[in-house]
Amino acid sequence: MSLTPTKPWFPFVFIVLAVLGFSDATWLAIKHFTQTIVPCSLTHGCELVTTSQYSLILGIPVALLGSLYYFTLIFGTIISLESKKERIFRLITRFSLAGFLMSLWFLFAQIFLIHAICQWCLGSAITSTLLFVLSYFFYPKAATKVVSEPEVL
Amino acid sequence: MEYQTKNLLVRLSYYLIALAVLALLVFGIYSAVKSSELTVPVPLASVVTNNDWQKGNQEASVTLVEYADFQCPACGQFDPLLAQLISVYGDRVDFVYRNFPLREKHANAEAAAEAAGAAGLQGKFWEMHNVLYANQTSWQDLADPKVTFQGYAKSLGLDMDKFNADSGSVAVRDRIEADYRSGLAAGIDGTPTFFLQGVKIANPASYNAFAAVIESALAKTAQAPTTTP
Repeated sequence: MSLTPTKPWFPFVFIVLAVLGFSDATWLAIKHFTQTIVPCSLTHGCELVTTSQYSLILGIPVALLGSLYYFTLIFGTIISLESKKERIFRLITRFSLAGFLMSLWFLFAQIFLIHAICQWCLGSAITSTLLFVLSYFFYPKAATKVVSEPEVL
Repeated sequence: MEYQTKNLLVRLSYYLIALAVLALLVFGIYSAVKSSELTVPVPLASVVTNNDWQKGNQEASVTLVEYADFQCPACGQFDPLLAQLISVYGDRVDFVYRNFPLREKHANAEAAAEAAGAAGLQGKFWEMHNVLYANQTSWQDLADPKVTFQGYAKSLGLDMDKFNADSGSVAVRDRIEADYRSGLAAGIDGTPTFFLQGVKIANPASYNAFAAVIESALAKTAQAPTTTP
C-alpha cells in the first residue's frame, strides 16, 4: 500500500494536543470522582457546570468520556506511527469531528443553559477544536479510494 | 521465527511504554487534585469570640469554625454530618458557625442569614439554622422568602414583633458582614470552608473522614496536659 507523503511533524502535533486534552479531561474526571460534596464557589463556575444535568450522559460523567476520547486519539496515533499505517491515522483524524461537535454542544449548554463557564471545560473545547481544524483543514484528504470514512455521530 | 518474536516484543514494548507514560500522567494529575486540596496552611483571620454562634463545649481545646451559606447546596449536604459530629463530639469540641453568604449567586442567602441572626437574638440561632437547612429547597428559589422565614420563626415560638424588627436590623446585618469579611480576610472563596484549630482544612468527603480529622486534633491536644479526661 502506498502512503501519501504527509508532513512528518503532523502526527506529533496531533498527539501533543491530544495529550493536553487528555490531561484536562482526566483532571475533571478525577475531580468528579474524588469530591463527593462539591462546594459552592465565589469565583468559579466549574462546580455549577460539572454538577449540572448536562455533565452526565447516560449516567457517565462527560469528563470521563472526554478522557476516553482523547485516549483513543493518542493510542490510535501511536498504533499508526508504530505500524507505519497511515490509514489508521487518517481514520483517527476523521474521528476528531465527534469531539468538535460535542464541544460545540457543551459550549452552547454552558452559555445558554447553565449560564456558567468552566475554564477546564473550555480548555478541552479548545484542544478538540484545534484537533478538528488540523485534521480537516491541514491534513490531506484520503489519497486512495480504499479509505473508508468512519461513521461519526 | 526467532526474529518475529523479538520483533513482536519490541513492538509490544512501544505500546507498554506509551501506556506507562499515560498511566504516570493520570497518577500525576490524581496527586495534583489531592494536593490542591491541601495547600499552604491558611490561618483563620479572626479569633473566635463570644460574638460567634457557637455550639458544643465553648471551653473545649479543639475548635471547628465553619464558614457557610444557608442557600449553598454543599452546606446543606454537610449539615447532617455536622449535626452528627456535634452530637458525638459536642462535649469535647467547640463548633462555630460563621456566615459567608454568596450573595451574587444565592439571592436568598442574606435573608436566611438575617433570619438566623434574628432568631439568635432570642437564643434560637441553632434552631433556626437547622430549620433553614432542613428546608433549603423549599425557600431557595422564592422571590421573597421573608414570609416563609416568619413561618419558621413562629413555629420556633419566637416573639414575632422582635423577630421582624431584628431581621433587617443594622446590628444583625453588621454581624453577618463581619463574618463575611473575616472569611474574605482568611482568603476563602467558597462554602463550606472549615478551620480546625484555626487552620483551613480540606473538606472531608464523609462523616468518618471528618470524625477522623477531629479525632486527630483531639489526640494532639490530649498530649498536652488539659483538664479533659
